[in-house]
Amino acid sequence: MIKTRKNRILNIVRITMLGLFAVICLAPFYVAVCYAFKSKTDFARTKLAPPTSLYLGNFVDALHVRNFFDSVRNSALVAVCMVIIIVFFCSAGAYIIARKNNRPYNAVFYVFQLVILIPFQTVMFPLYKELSNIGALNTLWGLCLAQAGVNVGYYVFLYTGFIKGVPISLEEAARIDGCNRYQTFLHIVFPLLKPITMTVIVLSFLASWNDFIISMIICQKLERRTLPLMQFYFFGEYSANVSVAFAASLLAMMPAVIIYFCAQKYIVAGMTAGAVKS
Amino acid sequence: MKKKLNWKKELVDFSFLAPALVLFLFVIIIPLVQGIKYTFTDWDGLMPKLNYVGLKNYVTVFHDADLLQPIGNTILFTAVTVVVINVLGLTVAMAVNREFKGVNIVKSIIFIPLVVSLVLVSQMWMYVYSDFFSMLGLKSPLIDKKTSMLGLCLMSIWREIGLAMMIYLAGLKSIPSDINEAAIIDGANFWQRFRNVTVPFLAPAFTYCIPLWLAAGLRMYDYSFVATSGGPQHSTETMAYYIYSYLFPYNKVGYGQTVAIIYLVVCIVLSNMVTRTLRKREIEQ
Repeated sequence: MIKTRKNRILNIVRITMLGLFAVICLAPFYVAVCYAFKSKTDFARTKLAPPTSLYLGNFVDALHVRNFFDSVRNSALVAVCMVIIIVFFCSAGAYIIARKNNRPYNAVFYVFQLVILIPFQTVMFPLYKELSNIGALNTLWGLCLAQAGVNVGYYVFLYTGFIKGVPISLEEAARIDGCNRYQTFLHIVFPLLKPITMTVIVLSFLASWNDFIISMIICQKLERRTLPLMQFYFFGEYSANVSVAFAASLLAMMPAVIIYFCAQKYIVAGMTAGAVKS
Repeated sequence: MKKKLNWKKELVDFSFLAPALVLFLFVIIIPLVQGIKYTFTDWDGLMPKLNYVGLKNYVTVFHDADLLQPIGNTILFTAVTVVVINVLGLTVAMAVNREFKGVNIVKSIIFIPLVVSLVLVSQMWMYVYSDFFSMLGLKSPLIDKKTSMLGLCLMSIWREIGLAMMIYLAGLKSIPSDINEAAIIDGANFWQRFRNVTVPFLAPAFTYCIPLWLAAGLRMYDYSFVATSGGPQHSTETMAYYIYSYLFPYNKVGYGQTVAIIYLVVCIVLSNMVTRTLRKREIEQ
């Protein structure tokens, strides 16, 4: 009896603490939301007090800033193209690495993995020069290639882990039926990879959407800026009008949050892969 | 007979890897090799011709007293974030492991910051520090050089705690429940169960998490750039930030690239050492 009562109290304490922790986790968002919904005078007067009325002017202002929609379009284009490149290049590469499983292919795989440890600063300047030499600086395709190249190692790694668990017997059956390797991959293997492909799509989209450092090097020009860059300069230029800057940032954050709520299980699956004893 | 290579087949096989490999060579390997070449020059990044200076940059690195502060800052950031993210992440994971109504909402909330861009994270926290802290009568940690780095640590911890929670939670779910029940029947208390059941089962999660945040800490750059620009008085300059400053604003590519290459070697060696140690412990247990 005493034991269960003690347990019940402990349980209540645990849930209360978790609730508190969740509130603390949300607190910084409160600052952004609170400021974004306040008019300039309200902001100066009441600061962090809850807004008494929902003022939408900041969002309207944010949308009217000349390069807001440019940035949305740039970010979306780069992210979508990068996701497509990553999914096809990495699934094909990982497939052959997993199936060959011989020395040269494993060596490539090892180098791919090593790259996860490379600080971007190490390749940043030579990459910048290289892109500038081929006229890819301040272009969206240049940014897209750079982001895909930086991330290719990680997603090959994710795919390879998954493919090693896919039974080979189906492929052998397809080969006997006369499929060549390309057909086998496209019609038999690729559909089986759907769960990990979903994960890769979501993770690489978020990586591209939120990328700051690569965009900063490659797309400085005003009309080529992606959303994180726009946000960064916004806070510099609008330091007198923080509300508009936060409104713009919240709008930029929305797609990522929507994707998060729709695809939570894929995000978690991808990020925790490899952390559990199989 | 069987040993003979079938070139056509090998070529078809290689064509699967070729796109990823070419992209990788173009974005990572060629710049890396170019970067190593620059370390033997005093290039400013603009001159059309390279002027080779031999090993001069490498000698300078080992006499560069300015490097001590970014090294210290990076160690501080990495140590604090690795320890706090893992300890707190595991604690939260254990707390949410037992189901209750609303547990999924709590998990979702703790995880959300991870999908927010680092730029917005930095900016939200700058205002939390300046406006909310002043309401409580506290100074913003970012304006004092003694606390500025810890201010950035808190941003990073807030953003990534949810990921640590999810990884440890996946590990906790993999523990067969009968083992824990058997331990309870045998009279093991909470700490004994934690040490002898939970920790050994979580070994793969530790091997995954600790190097992950070690690498992230060693590479930290964005928070310093957006939230503090390395200040006040260089107190938030990390190694990655220091390298960036030499490459772009200072136009000393030869030297910056030298620091970058040495740092790369340090990062790889350190990460491999840590991973290897953790793997060894995993097997012993």
